[in-house]
Amino acid sequence: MTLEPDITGILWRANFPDFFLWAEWEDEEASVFFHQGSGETLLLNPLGAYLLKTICSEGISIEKLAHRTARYFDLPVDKALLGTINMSLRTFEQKGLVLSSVS
Amino acid sequence: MKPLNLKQGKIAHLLRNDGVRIQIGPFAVSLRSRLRRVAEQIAFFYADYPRVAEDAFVDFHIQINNPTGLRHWIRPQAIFSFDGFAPFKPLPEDQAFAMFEWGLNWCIATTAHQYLIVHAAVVAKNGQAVILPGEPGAGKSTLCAALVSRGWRLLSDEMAMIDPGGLSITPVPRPIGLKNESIAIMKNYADGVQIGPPVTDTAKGTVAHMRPPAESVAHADSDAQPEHIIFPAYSAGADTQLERIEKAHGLTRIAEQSFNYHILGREGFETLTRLVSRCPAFDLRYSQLDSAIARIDALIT
Repeated sequence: MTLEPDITGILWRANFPDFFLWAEWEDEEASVFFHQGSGETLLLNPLGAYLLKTICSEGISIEKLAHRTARYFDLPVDKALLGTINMSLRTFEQKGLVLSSVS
Repeated sequence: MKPLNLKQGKIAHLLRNDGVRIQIGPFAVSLRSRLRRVAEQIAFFYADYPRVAEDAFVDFHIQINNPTGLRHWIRPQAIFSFDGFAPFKPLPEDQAFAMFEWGLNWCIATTAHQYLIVHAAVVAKNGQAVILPGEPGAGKSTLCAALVSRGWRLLSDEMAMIDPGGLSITPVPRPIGLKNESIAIMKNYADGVQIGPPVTDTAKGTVAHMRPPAESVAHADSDAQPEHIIFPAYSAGADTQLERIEKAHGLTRIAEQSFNYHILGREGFETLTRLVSRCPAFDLRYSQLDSAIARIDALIT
């Protein structure tokens, strides 16, 4: 799978991951994320939650993130998945939850 | 503490001089005012509330008086001040009592951060509290007033004050604010409902307050444990529907209704997480009060 040029070479990392808090319940798919720094509260679907938790632990490229996500959810790495991940990352970035840097 | 139950003339005298000191839930409030309307309505709405001793600590020193200037003689206004600070613009004088209620809400919401405060009515039956968060217009106060007139205990019409440690709710029973059509609905809904004079042309339309039941005021020092969260939504002509919602959705929606969740930070988030884990949350769509109350009654064991 070839990535769009504007999303390759970017590393994503969490902004103050020690400030991340989660509320999750075994019988529910959705989870709630709270950022202690900004006070931001987000209702997340399983994909959004997985992305934030994975980025939380290390700086990661979207390509690596897409492969991990595909393995975790048993999905193909295709344009739709990459597009969804890219859009989620941009949303998290706008909210100040993740930071991007050129590798 | 003795109840405030004094003749209006005596209350007016106290208001003009050292102030009337009232215990409202956990808060000691001192109110001073030269306005006749304020004396009338304090005498009507707060007769059952305990008086605070002269030498006791007071949480909020409030004054409601006419602002200075010539306007006083043409179109009288009232201005609210808290510890000498006037956070709001003056309003027409006939809104003075409503201004006291709104201003006291502001005092509590901006200072009482020992509680997680949610914009919600809270009522209880058999010791089980139900939290009714609501956007303006959702019918929260009307439903709260109806429940209270049918024997539920009033903990608050406006704010759920939740202890971040044990989740218990501290009561702060106050006059219930009714708006527009709700005023006539409640006047006719149950015997013994006492509603003060309506005030027209406020920012919320016509408003009037319903006197809280004396029994709720008498039990204002008894906390209650929350058991259910119900998001009411009045919808004209709708059949009553009570639907369970997921905890994650309940958490984000109740967080939106909190005055100080963002101030409490981690403690606020963890408190709400424990609250929604403990209390099933529901959406209640209704148009008929009796039917809505029957559904809420059925939740209580």
